[in-house]
Amino acid sequence: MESGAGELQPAARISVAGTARDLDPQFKDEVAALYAGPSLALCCQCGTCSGSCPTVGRMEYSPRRIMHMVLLGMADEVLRSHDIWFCVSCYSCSARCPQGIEIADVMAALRSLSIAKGLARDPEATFSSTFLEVLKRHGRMYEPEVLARYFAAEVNLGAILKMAPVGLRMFRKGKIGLRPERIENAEELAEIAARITSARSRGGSGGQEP
Amino acid sequence: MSWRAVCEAVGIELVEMEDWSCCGTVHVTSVDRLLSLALAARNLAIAEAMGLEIAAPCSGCYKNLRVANEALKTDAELRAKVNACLPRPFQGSTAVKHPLYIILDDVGLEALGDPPRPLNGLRVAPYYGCVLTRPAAAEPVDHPEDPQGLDRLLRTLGAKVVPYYPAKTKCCGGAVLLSHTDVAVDLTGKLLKQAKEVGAQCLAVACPMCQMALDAYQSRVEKQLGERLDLPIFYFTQLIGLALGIDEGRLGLGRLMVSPSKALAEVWGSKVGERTGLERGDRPNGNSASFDWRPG
Repeated sequence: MESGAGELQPAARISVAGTARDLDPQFKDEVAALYAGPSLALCCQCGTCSGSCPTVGRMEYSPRRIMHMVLLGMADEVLRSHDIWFCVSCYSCSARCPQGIEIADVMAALRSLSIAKGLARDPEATFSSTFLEVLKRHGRMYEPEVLARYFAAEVNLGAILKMAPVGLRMFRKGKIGLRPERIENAEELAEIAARITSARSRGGSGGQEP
Repeated sequence: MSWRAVCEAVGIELVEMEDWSCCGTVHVTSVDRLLSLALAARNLAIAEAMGLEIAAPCSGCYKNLRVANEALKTDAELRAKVNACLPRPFQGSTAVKHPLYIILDDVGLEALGDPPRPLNGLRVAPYYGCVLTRPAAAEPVDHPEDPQGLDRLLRTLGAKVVPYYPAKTKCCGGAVLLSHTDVAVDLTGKLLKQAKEVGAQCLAVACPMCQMALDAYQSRVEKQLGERLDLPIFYFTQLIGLALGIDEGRLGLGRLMVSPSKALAEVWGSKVGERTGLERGDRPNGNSASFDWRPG
């Protein structure tokens, strides 16, 4: 073959998660702003996190690849993924990361960014948002309202039917009540939430801040 | 309920926090970390005003409050940001403790040694859950993956602690109990099956969410595994209460979905022979070899 003519024929193709066409180099900084701990750039891709994760079997990417995708700037793929919502916050990854990165906290930061940017499509995202809404109204948990709102949003008859016997037993055992417990100063919570939101927009960054 | 009863018995005075609010648990941390810190700080400030330490019987809330307390104490900029949004400022003068370590460290096992109604070799699997010992505190209360506090407590009460590492700190999936129920049923199933395999008659837990998953969802797990489990799930102060001879009505045993009567009758109602150390899957160092803990 003449030098310069023809192309190298690859013996193998290494595929990347998805085909990232739009990389956002600021993404890792956006995530870092919501996370307090050793730098994400310390990640050496050892995979200990994935090996410790109890729900990795249900994930599309895995904790290790999510970390890599964050560093590469694959914001869309990460924030739309279900992976971050399968995280159960068990902190096994954080406990074992040889670089000391608080991976579980990074996952939490990604979840909050996912909601803030309206990219979250997962029942757990709906549940967490609903939980917060009910909390702001009453100051304490009011399970019947959370469930009513959650199931109205998720509309999953199968899940509702499966939940019914457990819910009934819990009610009979006095574990959940029908009437909400409202604290005296419930409006304080809504006030706190409002102040945080306005402090953030005064800060001007537009995203969530730590 | 049982925590209150035990506190009375050992001389701890519990004072309900005035107008306490929900700290948001893991769910609000998924939506907004700053708000989560602020909600926790609101409660920390209430305890500070009362001049008391916080006892948080739920591991999820304990982790939330403790982490917020540490973060706000050490990061002045963060503290200023959060205090600007609170009705009462956080000062950093209180501490957050979990009942298990209040009993172990502040009360001491000597106070419980030689209980009036020892558990007579009841075979208990000590389940700590995931966030009781992780992330490690600035001053850790126990080992993050192989804690021993609950093990020691149970032995002091006269129970036989079955080998339960590494399951003892594996997550039950409580955080996603309602949204990804199948995940929680899977994870809970692994824990229950492991306990059964090492011969446990029951589990002792330190978190009401874990108790909910292991107890209320046990029938779903049984359906999935295709076998009966019959493993009552005691919140650990229920067992302390039983050993101290506190009236069972004050320990909330009737609220358990999986009834503890059979297990308790086995240790108190009839003679139970001591099982030898080498049960199926045991290794001499106490680890259980038979279970597959590979992820997924």
